[in-house]
Amino acid sequence: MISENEIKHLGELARLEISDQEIKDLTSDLEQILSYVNVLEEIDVAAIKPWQSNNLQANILRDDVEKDALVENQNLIARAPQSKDNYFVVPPIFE
Amino acid sequence: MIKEIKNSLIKKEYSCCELITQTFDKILKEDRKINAFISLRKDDALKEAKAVDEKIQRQENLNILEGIPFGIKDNILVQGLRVTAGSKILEDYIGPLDATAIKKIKKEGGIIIGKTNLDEFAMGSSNETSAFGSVHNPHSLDKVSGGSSGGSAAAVASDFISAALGSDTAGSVRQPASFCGVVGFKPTYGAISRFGLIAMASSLDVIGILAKSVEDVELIFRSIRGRDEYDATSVDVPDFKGAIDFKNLIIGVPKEYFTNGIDEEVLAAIKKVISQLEKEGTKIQEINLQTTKYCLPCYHIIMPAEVSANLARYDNVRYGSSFLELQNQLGISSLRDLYFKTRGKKLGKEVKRRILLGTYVLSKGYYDAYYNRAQKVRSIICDDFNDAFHKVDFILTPTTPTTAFGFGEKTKDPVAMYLSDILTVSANLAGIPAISLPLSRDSHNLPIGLQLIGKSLDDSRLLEASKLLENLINYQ
Repeated sequence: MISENEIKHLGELARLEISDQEIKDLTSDLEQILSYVNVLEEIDVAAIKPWQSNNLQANILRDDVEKDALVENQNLIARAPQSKDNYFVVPPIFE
Repeated sequence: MIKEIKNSLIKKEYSCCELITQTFDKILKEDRKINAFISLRKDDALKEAKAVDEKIQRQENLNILEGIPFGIKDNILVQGLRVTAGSKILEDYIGPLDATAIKKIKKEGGIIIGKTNLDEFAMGSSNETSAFGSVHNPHSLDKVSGGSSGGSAAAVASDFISAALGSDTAGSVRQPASFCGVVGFKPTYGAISRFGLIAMASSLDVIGILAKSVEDVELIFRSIRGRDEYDATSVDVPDFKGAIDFKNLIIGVPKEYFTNGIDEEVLAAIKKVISQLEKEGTKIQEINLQTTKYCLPCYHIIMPAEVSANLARYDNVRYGSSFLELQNQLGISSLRDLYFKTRGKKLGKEVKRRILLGTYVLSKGYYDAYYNRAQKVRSIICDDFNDAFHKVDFILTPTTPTTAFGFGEKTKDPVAMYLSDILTVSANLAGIPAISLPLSRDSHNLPIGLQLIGKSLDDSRLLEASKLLENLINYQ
């Protein structure tokens, strides 16, 4: 049902590098899992509304008032693999 | 148990410093064979123990959890402590803040001993997917602890700590509790703030509690539950103020939870406690939960979808290793490389499976057939429980189909591992509270767990009923 090419494409979408050996295993794994979940096809869902929430709370908002941050920006950015001043450092986007 | 420890501290039978020192000594000596802990927090814990002793000297009143040693699953943030989620991609990450549940434990004087081992990103039912090694069942070292809160369950069962926090998305607190012979509680969705819990599947995740007794679970639950401004899905759970007795309980037994695939000894143990309940005057009612066979398949569409979104942030930009060293190791010369290669190298097999599956079920052409359909099935699963709770107060089932299995026994086929959650996953889909109580042991001396499920927001009454059951069972 699911092909190795589809797995490669999914890897692209999820930004995950998958080795050639991994592609074989993952194709077989996903095949098995999809087989298992396909039992849901036997239910007639036409008249059913999709699940929305267990607690039926909607759009919890707070007042638009300035508050102190829980953690200073600098504190968070400093934990990054690479940072400079108050910015994250990344490799070039274009080669 | 918590009350006994508090009494001993107040009576000065031992000091808090002695208690905490002994805690670390025991862990250093015995955790090598269990592997329950990923990080330990010795210096701060001892400082806090000293402060507790000084408070006792001054004859001040102690807070609810004062001096009690806690383990915290390593997907919950504790400020200044490494938080790995059991993954290489976070192996060097230091938590910048305390999760709300942690803030509350600290406020009540609980002492955090360390971070417990877990399946990577909480994905697993055996604690075999951790990048920091598997956790061994204290009752039989050649068996798994269960997962994903394996470290928490094993640490409590080994008496390293009094109690632990875990997380439960399909049974990850209840199943290892059952395998390790401790109490494992999953509250109503939202009852405990998820702020500071590393997200796996946001509509299913809850923080749960593992301890030796229901009384301890309740003390901790009262301390850490409640509406939190930092978690919009959090809710207040009302206290149950009535009286509860065997004679005024109606307990539902769903036949779908007692079918093929459930171990004979597990079935026998549950049937025995059902007889005991009937003798006490409890009304036992057979119920139908027809949507049971759709729960696990439904979960394995919704959960991966949410996982694929929640784990997109692990891009080695905000969290991860310095890419200067990666540049040499993996040949990273562009942003694209950074994403692909670090995620490819540092995320484990099970995590990748779920991210890819989630990406698939959300993608164009498949969204309706899978994700949308699963969301509708989730509705009817919730309805099924709502109907059941019009007829019964609680639902009683085994927690797991088997007792603890051996390492590698279920890792060849992903679905075989997933089936460990078949009796626990429904409570997560419906957002309802459930608890696993240690019941007895099988012929290999492995613990068997009993599960009691309640309706939404009925956590307090569920815990009261659990205390009754616990007394009746008298697990040794």
